Amino acid sequence: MSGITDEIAQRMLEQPFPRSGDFAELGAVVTTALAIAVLVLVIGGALLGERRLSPTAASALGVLGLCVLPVFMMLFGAYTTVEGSKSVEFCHSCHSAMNLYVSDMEDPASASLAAVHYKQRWITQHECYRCHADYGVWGSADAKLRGFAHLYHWLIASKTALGEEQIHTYRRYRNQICLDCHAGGADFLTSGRGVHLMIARNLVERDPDTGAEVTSCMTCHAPAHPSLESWRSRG
Amino acid sequence: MAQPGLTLAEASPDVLRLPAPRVRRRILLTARVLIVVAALITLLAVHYLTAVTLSLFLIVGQGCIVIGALLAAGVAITDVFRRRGVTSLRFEPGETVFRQGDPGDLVYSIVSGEVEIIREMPDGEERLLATMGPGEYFGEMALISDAARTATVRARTSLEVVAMGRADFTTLYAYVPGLKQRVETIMRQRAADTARKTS
Ligand code: HEC
Ligand code: HEC
Ligand code: HEC
Repeated sequence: MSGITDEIAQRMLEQPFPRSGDFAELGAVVTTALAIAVLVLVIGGALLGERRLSPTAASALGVLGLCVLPVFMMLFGAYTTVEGSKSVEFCHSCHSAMNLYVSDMEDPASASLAAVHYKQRWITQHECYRCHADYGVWGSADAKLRGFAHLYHWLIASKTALGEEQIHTYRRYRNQICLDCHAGGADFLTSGRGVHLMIARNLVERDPDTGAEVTSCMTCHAPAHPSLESWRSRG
Repeated sequence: MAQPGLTLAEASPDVLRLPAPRVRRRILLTARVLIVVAALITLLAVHYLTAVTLSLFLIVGQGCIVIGALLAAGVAITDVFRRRGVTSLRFEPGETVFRQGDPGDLVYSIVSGEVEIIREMPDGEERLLATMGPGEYFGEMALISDAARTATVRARTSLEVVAMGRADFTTLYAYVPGLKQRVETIMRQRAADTARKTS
């Protein structure tokens, strides 16, 4: 027997099983090793000088430390950081602006769509990213630019960045992302007496003016998150 | 050797003119600084990922890597040319061409200007062994004996030299009739001179 008591087993089931060994972790290890190798080669090379090495060896080490390894460091670093930016903690790194969304989502008492998906573990990781995959480095070119524009908000400590003003989206939320998971689902197709199929055209056809579908899922399934006002009054 | 009244560029327009060693050192230093900064930013972003460090990495870090790697690649490519084939280099007055103890890689022939050949004594004192002018060559000793430079060479005036890499020089040295004897005679003379001046 493994010596696991009922109590331990229950506690194990009460929280998500730890994930380990995904590629992002490996990426972090490889990137760190590359960065340290680069620092050792470049700083060591500069201190030792080219005097102690034959010119050919100095050249080869220079190319290795200044061109080859840095390029790999850049690629692995980009993979690791961009992969890491999917995490909820990353979203939470803009604490003042995102605290509302993260703490509501993680609040078991909340009934918002995000919180329900979170507490039931319907989305198993990268929860914010999964519903907002069209944002930041993950989105289109203009979404990426906006991500950097939001950095500017942070720099100038704007009211939205400080969490003092309600954040508004630039355009309507796209059903596409909900449908990524829900289209084809048995309950989705039948529940509400088949309401989704009845209004199917409006749920998929895009309105050229807004760029989003004619009828948003949020028309009936709001709120995804509490408004700033209601969250504040909750205390 | 250039004919009197002709600049090197006129006499042999095909000689590759490389950036001065001083410029090369500055470019290399810039590349090193950029790459070190990039490595530090990368470590920061990977281990402390926030919106700020991510942006710093994506914009500044990657920018540093691209520019630094290109500069270093440029230096490496000119280094290959410097070692293979004949190139022309310019030095400012007072600038060091090579230092005693450096590994020997090139042999130099003076096109215009003058150099001082200096022996650095163990006590740090510098002794002037010789000065050389247009048409004379130096730096062959370390190439022939495959040893470190036995003296420091410094530009006395603004200096233009033609430099030849080890491979080309040793080939000429072995196969051009009479060259070996001439070089050896000069080397013997210089060795005797040096012995006299440093004893
Ligand atoms: C179940 C999917 C889902 C999850 C999970 C989710 N969101 Fe949302 N989010 C939405 C939808 C849908 C909207 C659009 C709401 C609307 O238009 O009414 C939205 C809107 C927003 C907005 C714009 C402001 C607003 O209230 O309209 C922000 C900011 C936001 N989400 C941040 C987050 C963060 C941070 C997380 C992770 C802690 C997160 N979201 C998790 C679905 C989700
Ligand atoms: C990563 C996949 C995923 C995404 C994205 C997603 N959901 Fe879900 N959602 C689920 C799963 C899994 C369930 C539970 C099974 C079911 O009811 O279909 C669920 C359940 C629901 C429910 C039932 C809630 C309840 O209380 O029973 C609604 C409503 C819903 N989702 C709406 C949405 C909307 C609207 C969006 C877009 C903002 C969305 N979902 C995005 C996976 C997802
Ligand atoms: C016209 C309003 C309306 C719109 C728009 C709408 N739904 Fe629903 N949805 C309902 C109703 C009503 C139910 C049934 C609620 C219940 O049974 O409690 C439902 C239930 C669901 C469920 C739960 C299925 C289950 O029983 O577990 C999911 C998932 C869902 N909707 C997803 C979506 C998605 C995704 C969209 C956008 C593409 C969407 N809905 C748009 C009205 C709507």
